[in-house]
Amino acid sequence: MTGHRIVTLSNGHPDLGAGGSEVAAKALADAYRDLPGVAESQLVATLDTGRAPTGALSSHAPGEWLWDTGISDWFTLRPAHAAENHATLAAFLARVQPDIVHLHHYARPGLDVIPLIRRVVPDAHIILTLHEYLGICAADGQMVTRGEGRLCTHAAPVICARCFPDRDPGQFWLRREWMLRHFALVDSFVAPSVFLRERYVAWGLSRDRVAVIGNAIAPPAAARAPRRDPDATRFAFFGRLTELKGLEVLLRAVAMLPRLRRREISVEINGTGLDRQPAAFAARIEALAAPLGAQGVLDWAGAYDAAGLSARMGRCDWVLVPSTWWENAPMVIHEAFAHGRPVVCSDIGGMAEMVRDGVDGVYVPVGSARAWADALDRLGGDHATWARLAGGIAPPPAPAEIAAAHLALVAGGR
Amino acid sequence: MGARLGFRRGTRPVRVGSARVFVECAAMLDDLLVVTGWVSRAGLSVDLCRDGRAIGAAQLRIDRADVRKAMGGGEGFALVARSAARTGMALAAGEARVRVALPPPGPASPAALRTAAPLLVRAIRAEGSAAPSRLPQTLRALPAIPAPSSATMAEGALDAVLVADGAGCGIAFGWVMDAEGELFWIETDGPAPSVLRLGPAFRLVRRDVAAAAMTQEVGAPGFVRFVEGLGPDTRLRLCRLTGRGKRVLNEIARPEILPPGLAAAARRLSSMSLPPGAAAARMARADGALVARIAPSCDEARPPAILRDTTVGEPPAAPDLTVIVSPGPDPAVAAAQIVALASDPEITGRAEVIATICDDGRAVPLAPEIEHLAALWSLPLRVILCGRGGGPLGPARVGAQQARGAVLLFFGAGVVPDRPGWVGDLRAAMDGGAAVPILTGPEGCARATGLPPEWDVPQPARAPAGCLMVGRAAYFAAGGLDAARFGAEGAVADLCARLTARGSAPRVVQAVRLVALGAGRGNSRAEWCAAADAWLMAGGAP
Repeated sequence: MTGHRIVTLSNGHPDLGAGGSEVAAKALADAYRDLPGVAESQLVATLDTGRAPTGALSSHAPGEWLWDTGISDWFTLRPAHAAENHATLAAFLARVQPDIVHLHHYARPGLDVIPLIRRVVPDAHIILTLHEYLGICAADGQMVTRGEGRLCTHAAPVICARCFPDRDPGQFWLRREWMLRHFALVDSFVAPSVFLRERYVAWGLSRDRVAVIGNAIAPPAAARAPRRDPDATRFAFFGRLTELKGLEVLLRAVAMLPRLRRREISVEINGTGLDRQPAAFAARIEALAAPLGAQGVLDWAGAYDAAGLSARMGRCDWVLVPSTWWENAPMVIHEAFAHGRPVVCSDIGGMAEMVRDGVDGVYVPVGSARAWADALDRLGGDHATWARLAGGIAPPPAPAEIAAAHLALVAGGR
Repeated sequence: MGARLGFRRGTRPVRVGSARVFVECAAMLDDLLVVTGWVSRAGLSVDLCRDGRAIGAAQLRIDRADVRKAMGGGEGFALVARSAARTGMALAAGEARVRVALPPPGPASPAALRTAAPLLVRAIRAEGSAAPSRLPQTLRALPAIPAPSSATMAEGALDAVLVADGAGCGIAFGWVMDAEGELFWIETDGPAPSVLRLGPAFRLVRRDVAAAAMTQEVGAPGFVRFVEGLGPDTRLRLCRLTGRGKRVLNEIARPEILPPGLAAAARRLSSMSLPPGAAAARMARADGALVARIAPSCDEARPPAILRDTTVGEPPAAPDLTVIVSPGPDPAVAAAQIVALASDPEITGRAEVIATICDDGRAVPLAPEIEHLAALWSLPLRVILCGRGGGPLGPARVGAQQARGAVLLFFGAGVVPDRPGWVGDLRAAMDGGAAVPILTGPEGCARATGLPPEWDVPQPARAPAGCLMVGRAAYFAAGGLDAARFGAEGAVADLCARLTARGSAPRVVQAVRLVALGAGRGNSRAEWCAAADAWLMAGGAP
């Protein structure tokens, strides 16, 4: 059989509750499979069971595998029991003999898989899609300073050591060298946003090695739905309930709205994970949410899955993305646009790149609860603006287009 | 009440107003008079008198549960005074100054010493080097008190005692966690028993101790002490005077007989760093004569044994370059070194790479990790696991002995290149002789070796420690890496000086920069100057 044999190595599997990069990886692996000129597309998603990883590779669905591995050192992104964990993946690669290995994020697979791929299938074209900033920033790859939560613009050993007082600046120099040595084995990098590419270029990657291709997103289950209730405005938040997603800013903003306005709008919170956040943050969220829920302005809808996403998107008017970190290319914005919903977002980073202020969405100064309150107050009931911005939305490219763009990288030798 | 307090020698407490005073013990320690006892009213001042005048003895108030219980209050006391007279002393208590006759001074009893120990500590600290002349003998005579092992570990230890063969003397190494140090001493048994107090002149910086103790103190907890009268059966004990008496911290029953003497001592020293200036110089002055006696018995240290010799992958059949990696204790740096070599086009498939690792008993062995990385990165690698011995450069010297290439590249611990291609650049610049890179910190600033400027060594000898490319024949002809003069971190500079003296001065390659990692790695210039001064004064020559 001729044609490309592609292995996509993902940070996780969306069926296991993973985030945007995992959703994009699966969508792309599926799209590869349907492309002409592709003989085989396999998805290998890391599985972190929370127990000691075994390295086992188990079938999850046709063409999809779960790889039981885990990172033991998040500073260098290296696994424990590397030899054992890698043996199964090496055997898999040796059997499939891919000519393209697409690595979607390097966090949970770990950096060691890059030389492993190069050793087992030396002629394979390695593509690495970058998600967030973990190589640049050891603070969970968020480029937000620990403690004071300030947005960070670039990495340098002395600067990074301030976030980690127990580490020597030399360790950050070494970390960067370590990352770059591994990245030197990659043939093509893909950044889902220009913003992210520029951060990695400033850090040390060569610009001509990094192509900007958006994340693939599966077509929505339902077509664009019209507004449900012309007399009430429904805003919705989608995502993990972590500190940097800006949920606290949003709830404070809702609490600042005039009482009358709070009767005319509603804010729906879709997402989970609050129970895994720091107790103080969770307590603050619960304290803010309880009275708003009692007043009827806040609707805590909770967890959702891919199958239920279209229904939730269809019942809201605006999608809110109040993140207080840079983001990369948030999947929720793709999904909002796929469902014809304008986006209200923080005015920084990957969000500001994806959303065009006044065309398909609205910017709000990052982290300002007052500004968010003003925006909600202004947009609530403004049907004309909603219609104009909804009309300005360009649907995301089809997954097949995204997959073809990746194969073009291989054909072009980048 | 009295019976429960155990009055001795038929004495009874003396009444002072409404209170009572009792002297339990009076003892002479050299020319220090130590008096202990109790008063039934807390806060009552006591003093020693002679010829009707108080002599201003130091008073220590001691909480005594037995006194409080028996007398319904009160406290213990201890007095220490310097006194040439050993008789005619009396005790004055309170404003009434009622005299209490002292019992005749006798030998120090364990009870009295336990009580008076804190005062002794103060007295010795106050006296410093002018401590009573016979005090060491007194210290020796003190009965040892038991100590929990954890406390012992936290206070200090003798690490090693090296006896110069036939010289009748040697060097003791160890550490103490008290920056003052006057309260520690070494006792020796054998034909000529002695007591050696640890003064500031013998202090060393021991980063290993500081790291193990998780302390940020920049003090000088280590020591090195030259000891006379040592033989193969001499027992040495490290002791400390504590508030409860003498504590034996540890004992070495059989000193290590080493032919090398000074060379071995130098290797031991190279794993430490000497203290600034004057202290090191004082040490050399004080023990210069002993060093001179040890020096003639010097010899080369025994090379470390090869415990394991394995090869990952297939090395080139006839390499012309051998890279000798001697990883340090940091596994992250060691991993980066292996990956750096694997990514260098001059290495892969062309050079022989030997990693020489000292099996120092660390919890996570380095060798398997390095072997895994080499396999992952397809780097043919020979891993030689060495036993202890040969000093810090022992593994590197073993690597040189095993090398097959005509050119050797020593890739030392803690240095990482910042780009591929550096090996080729060094090779091109070497021009048949030797070449060294520039060593920088992570911030990019070049680091100096810190050799004293007055030594006037040729410029290449100031090349940084950590990396050297040299022809194999030239390396052995010049005597190889040796830590005896400047320690492990100055060994490259030392070898460069010898190469220069033989007419093959190494080239310093400005275009090749290696980054030295680790906080506080290497000695400061001042420390190196001090070390160099000390060895010069001991009869060495640059």
